[in-house]
Amino acid sequence: MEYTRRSVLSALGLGAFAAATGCSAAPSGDGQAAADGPAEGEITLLTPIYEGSTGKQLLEGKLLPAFKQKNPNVTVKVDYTTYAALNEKLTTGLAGGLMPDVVMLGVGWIPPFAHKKVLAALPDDLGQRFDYEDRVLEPCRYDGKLYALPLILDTRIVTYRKDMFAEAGIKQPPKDWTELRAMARELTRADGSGKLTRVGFDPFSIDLRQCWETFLFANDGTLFDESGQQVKFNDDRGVEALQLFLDVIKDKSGDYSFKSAAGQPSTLAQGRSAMMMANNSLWVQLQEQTPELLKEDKVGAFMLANRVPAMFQGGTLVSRSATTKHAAAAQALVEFLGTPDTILPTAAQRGAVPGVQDLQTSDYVENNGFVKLALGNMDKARSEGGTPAWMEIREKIKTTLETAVVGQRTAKEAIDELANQSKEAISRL
Amino acid sequence: MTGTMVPERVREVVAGPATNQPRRLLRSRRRAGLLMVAPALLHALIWIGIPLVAAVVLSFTSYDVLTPPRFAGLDNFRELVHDDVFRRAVLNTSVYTFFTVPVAMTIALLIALMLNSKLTGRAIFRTAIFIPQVTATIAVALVWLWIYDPRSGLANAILSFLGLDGPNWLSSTSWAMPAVIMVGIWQGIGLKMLIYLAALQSLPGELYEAASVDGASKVRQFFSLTVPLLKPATFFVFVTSVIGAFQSFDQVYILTDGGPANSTTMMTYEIYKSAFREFRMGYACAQSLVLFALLLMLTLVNRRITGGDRGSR
Amino acid sequence: MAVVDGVRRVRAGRIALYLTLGAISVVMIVPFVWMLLTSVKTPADIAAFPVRILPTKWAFGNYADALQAAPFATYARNSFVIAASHTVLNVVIASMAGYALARLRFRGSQLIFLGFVGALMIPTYTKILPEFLIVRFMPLFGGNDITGQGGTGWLDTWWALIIPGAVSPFSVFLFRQFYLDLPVELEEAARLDGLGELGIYARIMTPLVKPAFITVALLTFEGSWNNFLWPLLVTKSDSLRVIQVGLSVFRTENDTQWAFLMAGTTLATVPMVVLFLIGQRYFVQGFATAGIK
Repeated sequence: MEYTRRSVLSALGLGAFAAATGCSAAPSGDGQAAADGPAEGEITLLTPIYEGSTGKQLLEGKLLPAFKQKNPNVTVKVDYTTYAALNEKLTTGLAGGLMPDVVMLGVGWIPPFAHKKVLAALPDDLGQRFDYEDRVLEPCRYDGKLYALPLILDTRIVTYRKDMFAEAGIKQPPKDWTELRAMARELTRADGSGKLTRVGFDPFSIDLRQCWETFLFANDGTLFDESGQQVKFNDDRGVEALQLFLDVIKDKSGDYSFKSAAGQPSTLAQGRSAMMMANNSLWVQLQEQTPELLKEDKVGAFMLANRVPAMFQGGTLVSRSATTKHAAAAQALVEFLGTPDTILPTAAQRGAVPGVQDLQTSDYVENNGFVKLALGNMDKARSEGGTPAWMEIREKIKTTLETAVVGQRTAKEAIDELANQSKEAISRL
Repeated sequence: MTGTMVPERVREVVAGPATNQPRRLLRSRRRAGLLMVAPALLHALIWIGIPLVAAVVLSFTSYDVLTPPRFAGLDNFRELVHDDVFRRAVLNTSVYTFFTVPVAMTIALLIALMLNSKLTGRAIFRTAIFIPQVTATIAVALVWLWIYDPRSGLANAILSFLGLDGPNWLSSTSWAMPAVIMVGIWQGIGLKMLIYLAALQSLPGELYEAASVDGASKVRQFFSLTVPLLKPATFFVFVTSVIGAFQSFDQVYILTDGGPANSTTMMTYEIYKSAFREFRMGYACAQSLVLFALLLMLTLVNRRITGGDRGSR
Repeated sequence: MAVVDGVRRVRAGRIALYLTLGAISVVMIVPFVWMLLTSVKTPADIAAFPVRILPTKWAFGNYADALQAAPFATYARNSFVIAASHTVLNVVIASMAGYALARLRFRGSQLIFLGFVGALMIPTYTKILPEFLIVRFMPLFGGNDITGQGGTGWLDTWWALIIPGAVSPFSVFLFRQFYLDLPVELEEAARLDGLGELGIYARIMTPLVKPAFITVALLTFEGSWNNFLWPLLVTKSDSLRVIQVGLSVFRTENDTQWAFLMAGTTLATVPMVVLFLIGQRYFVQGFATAGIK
């Protein structure tokens, strides 16, 4: 009796340890499956986009049948998730040694995953099949190799109200931050009691991390050096980028609580801000919620500029697992998903930017003002990430910079703190 | 009358079965008891025991999921000691628990008492109060975002109706926590009310009849009968509420993302971030063990002080 | 005279009681009402500033459109199967365990009880990865060999959806507390009548704690009906996905389809409300009205 009980317990303990250490996790080493040979077999595609019936219809009703026609021996099983739960899905799958054959990841994720040899490098010529701006492929590369293809992109630009600009007699978008701040002050309105009714500039409706990075890039700064081992954002350019938010708040031409509320349209659409940092997908939202603003040509957009003009570039990239049993099939699917024929309808469905220059003349791009601006200027787009420690650093940026925005620290102190946290994360690699 | 009204009966009722029984009976009871608890125990050993052991093991490793765990000794715990954000999270969690649990418990008990009476329309009241519990948190939390909007939200509309100037709830470091606490109270009441209601339903009626005959006032009955009889339920509600509060996640995830400037971050939120956003499983497990230890301590202290649910023995 | 005064006092008390309950109920359901109103608004109405409480155009079509957005019939069926199984399993297994821990005190029962309470203290996000791995390495299932290698275990099967949630320590704890309260005489009398322990549990004691059963049933059903993360993680096929996963498609990274999300959530909530309405009917007039009559 005693004996059996003990052995049961120790068996359970062993099981726990086996589970904990993920004993059959991805085989380490450089034994990467080669992608030559015939494309065949059943492969899994993990996707955080194409969600819902319309997405599913596009993917499984249109795109995958076309793929099947070209690769009749490959069956694709789709595992849908959302961006909100992508990490949980990936983490559990990886720990269980069940990395999907083809996976879609966000910008910034390639270096950490490629560094850990979870992703397979793609043939370099895939980066030359179509007319990509160099900047577009930058987040797909790590250590000189191409690991992913861009599917759709999202940029952060400054959107503004043309009617308010006209009313204030402003003819040109701001050339630098001095102009930006002056215009913001001029465009701000308050009621009799001094309460803001309209801010001149709303940088806070987008995520603070992405917003600060956009400002850093427009200030000609960078996050990390080429190798991804050195922190570069803690110079004046990074501090100034953060300081600008504090200045706008001090001017009372912006307010941290003055941002687009959930369930409600943007401050721009409500006329509560004259300039607003936005994702280019705002165009589609405007089309749906306040079409009159677009019809009357009241909304425009420009690129943020100080030392240089720049846009923040995010997006969804498609890559293949290093451990897939059907390497050729997986690679065929990656190649297929990276073609303009796939990219265009996918971007159109989400209001995103199709990252291939040839698509500039497509109807979708022609008729979407924000996407048109973005695609026409992809040479000025900059991506976040660039270090294998990005997963960790990414999480620290907003919370750390926020301490300055709410007045607990100076901009310099916050940036220094972030730099320390980043160095620590990099040292743990 | 002081002690004579209830004591004998109540004491017996609350205390449960007496213990001096013949041996044979005890043995058969022991066998029956083990048999009846076995399925649940086995289930818990597998689905909670193994994860717990795994968490303990992993807390001494550095594990990023992408590569096998590496033994890291006490590194995670050493780092934890200097982690200001996690310390902040422990503090926030304590504040949140301190305010949500007692308040929500008191309100829930009062509501349960009211709804336990013969009342026209009590089904409607009960349902209304239970609704926050049945609606998926995500959708409800999104509605709260709207309520807290400083300019167009309901909260400030009511305040301005009362002639007050409302704060910038979720973007203010001093008001975000109260806002999260209010949602916590609001959401916790339904469950606690239901448990109290069920407990009130199971109270032995003869005692009250006897007490009424003896001329004890309602208030007196409440304090000398209801409160002691509710002790097992109260112990349950208290322990599970504290555990629930220590693990509250959804509100913070949707309402504030832990901000502004970490003013509303909680322990589970930090654990989630370490594990699933930063891919630091080992560190997340170390954080979880701190949470576990704190809860265990609180529960044991509570049992010590109040005697748990066997106080009247 | 005194009688009239008494009546008046009782009536005033009643009114106060209704007012209090009414006020509390309003506070509790305001978010829900807002959800209902949003579910029948057009995008333009949702976008309006200042906020419009009532829609200018009642867009009831949102409900039909929302249902088109995903195979909700399948999702609802799956959620129902999972929630119903969890409810039945929890009520049976947890009540037995709770009874044993409360009434059949045996050596080690205190420790086991504390173990169940302790089990509640491990956060979901700590358990979820090991639990996933147990499911994935389940020996002899889904192509796995005896050591759990080779296949995918319980992943993408009903087992993974149902078994891990079959018993919750919460239910065990709750049942224990309710069985604790019962008078010992009943038990002894039944024992004298020659009833076995299982018989005493099933026939004598359990009928006395019906409210506890209803409570556990309601909470379990509601909990697994609203579960999102676990079903998403362990399934891959659309045919095994659940209602909350279906609702998540209305929230994408850059945009939330508010009207659809609210319409979908309302539809998902209605069965729960109905269930509660039915369940609470078994909470009859209690004895302890404690001062309020």
